Amino acid sequence: MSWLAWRLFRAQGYLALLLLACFGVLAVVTGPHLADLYSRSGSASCTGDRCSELAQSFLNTAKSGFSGTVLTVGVLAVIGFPILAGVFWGAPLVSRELESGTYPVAWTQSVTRTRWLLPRLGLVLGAAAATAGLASLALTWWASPIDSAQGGRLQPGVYLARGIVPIGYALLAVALGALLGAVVRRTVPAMATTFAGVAAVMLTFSLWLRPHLIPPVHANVPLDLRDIRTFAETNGGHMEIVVNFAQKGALVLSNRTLTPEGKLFVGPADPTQCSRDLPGQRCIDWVGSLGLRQDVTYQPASRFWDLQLIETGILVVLAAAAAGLCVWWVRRRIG
Amino acid sequence: MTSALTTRGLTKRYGRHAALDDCTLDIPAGRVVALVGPNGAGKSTLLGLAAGLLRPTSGEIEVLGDAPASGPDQLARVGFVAQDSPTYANLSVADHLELGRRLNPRWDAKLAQRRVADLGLDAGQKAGRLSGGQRAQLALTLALAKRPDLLLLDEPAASLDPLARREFLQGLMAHVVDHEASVVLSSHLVSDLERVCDHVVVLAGSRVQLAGDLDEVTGTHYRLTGDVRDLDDLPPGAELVHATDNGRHRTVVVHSALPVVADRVQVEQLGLEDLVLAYMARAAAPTPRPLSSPEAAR
Repeated sequence: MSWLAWRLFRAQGYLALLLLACFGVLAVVTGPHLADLYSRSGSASCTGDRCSELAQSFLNTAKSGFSGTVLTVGVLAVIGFPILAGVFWGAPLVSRELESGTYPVAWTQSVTRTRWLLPRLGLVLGAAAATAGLASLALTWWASPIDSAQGGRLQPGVYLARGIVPIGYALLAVALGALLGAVVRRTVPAMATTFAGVAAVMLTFSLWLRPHLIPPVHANVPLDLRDIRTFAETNGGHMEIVVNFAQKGALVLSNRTLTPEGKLFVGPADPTQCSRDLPGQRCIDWVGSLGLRQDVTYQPASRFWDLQLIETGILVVLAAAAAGLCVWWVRRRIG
Repeated sequence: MTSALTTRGLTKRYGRHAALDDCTLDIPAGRVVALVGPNGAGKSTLLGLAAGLLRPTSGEIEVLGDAPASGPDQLARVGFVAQDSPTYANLSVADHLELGRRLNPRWDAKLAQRRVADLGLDAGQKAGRLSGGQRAQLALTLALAKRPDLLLLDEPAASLDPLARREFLQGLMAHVVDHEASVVLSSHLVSDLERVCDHVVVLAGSRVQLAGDLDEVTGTHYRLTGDVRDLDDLPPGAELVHATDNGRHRTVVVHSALPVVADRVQVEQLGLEDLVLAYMARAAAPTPRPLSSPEAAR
């Protein structure tokens, strides 16, 4: 049976290998240049005030031109591959046999449906996991100077394209695609629902679940007005002030400016200090004298691997459930 | 081994539509069975159930003494070719034989090679590029080389021209005789099967209309032709199958275990084709005509 599984998957497997090889070559050819750029920028060995400036100038160079293009392509490929694997490898696995009418051939050889499905599903799951893992490894290595300069890898567009979560998403996408293909029995609708399903899981994790996989850290520190994000005053004297969180690379869940009493600071602005006619710095200095505090909940950048492990674990469990349901469905519900 | 295929109250529904309704059959082993009936009669459903591709809504089915597709051993003993002879379009003829070899413990590689050579199939040709007839032959080769005890063929000759059809069926029969397999083959063309089968099952309107050995079936049915008045009452022991009136003339097909004798009426035996048509016509009629019922005739 594994022979038929391989024979039917062969062309797609070779294509994936070819694309992976191109990806690897691109990384190996352009990677050293990026690493060299990083070490020459002085950002790595930097201590003191100029660090963020150095890092920013390195990032500006790295994210423009050819290396910027490589980064964009790499991120899209590593995030997109699991979805593509689900759509083009998982969804047609059962549905194409049902739709093209070849299942009577497959299911009337001297092999039960389960023994027919398991090698096919196993092969595609393995190929998807290996491809996602190697692609992510290549990008994680290639982009390590950029990630270091940024101080963290928890932003969704970075997080999803590094480490081991791409493997989890690839497994889930293929298993979900196979299940939907068996249930829907039509290839194109199965592909569409797989696409929507995997994208929905990625969004759900990024927007709602990931920040809470580990209880976030709470910090209450004196407001540091050197790095302002929002400084607004409306005509009624109402104020809104947010400063950036000092910890680089942290995933910030909430960031509020509180009064010394612990209430949300909303003004009112002192008209003798903050006015259109006066220099802005005067108003900022006045705010700085109020003893305001910054109240933040966040996931520190150091939790990258913990979060990756937990999320991947959940995805693997979901994938196993979908694969098990797919096998059950093919055995019991088709026919 | 006594029965190739037995069913009891076998029913398959798709929503409210019954594709096969309360079908009870017992087909002895060693027969070549013609499964005939109009399109949509339930022939493919019955064969799909027997091959284990479909599951009954209710009722029971046993194939060679076991539930269909109940395990690798049972699967190995049943060969199946679905309607339109599906094959993997992207796999070559040689790939299909390799598939058969790897997936079937009883695979007869010599037989497969010989058949492919005899048919003049190019081993490297992709199945998707074969003609309909060649594809049918490839699918049949896959089923035959499996060396099954029971061969289920759904409209196997449909894609062949008349000459190829006859050769196909002759080749099939030669193989069956050599290997002592049972065969069930469906067709809506009775003439195809009359030459080769020795048992017949007529399906129409999702129900079994008639089932029995060919000799027995053709020996117990008669066509009576005569004046309407002379055919108002059926001969004793005769059971009405179907009647048609044409003006003052009436044609009646009856089933009777005893030879039928009647005055002023022409009595003749029927060929399988006419017999099947009579049963199909009966199934298609909304209700039986208020002619003498078998009960009243007794």
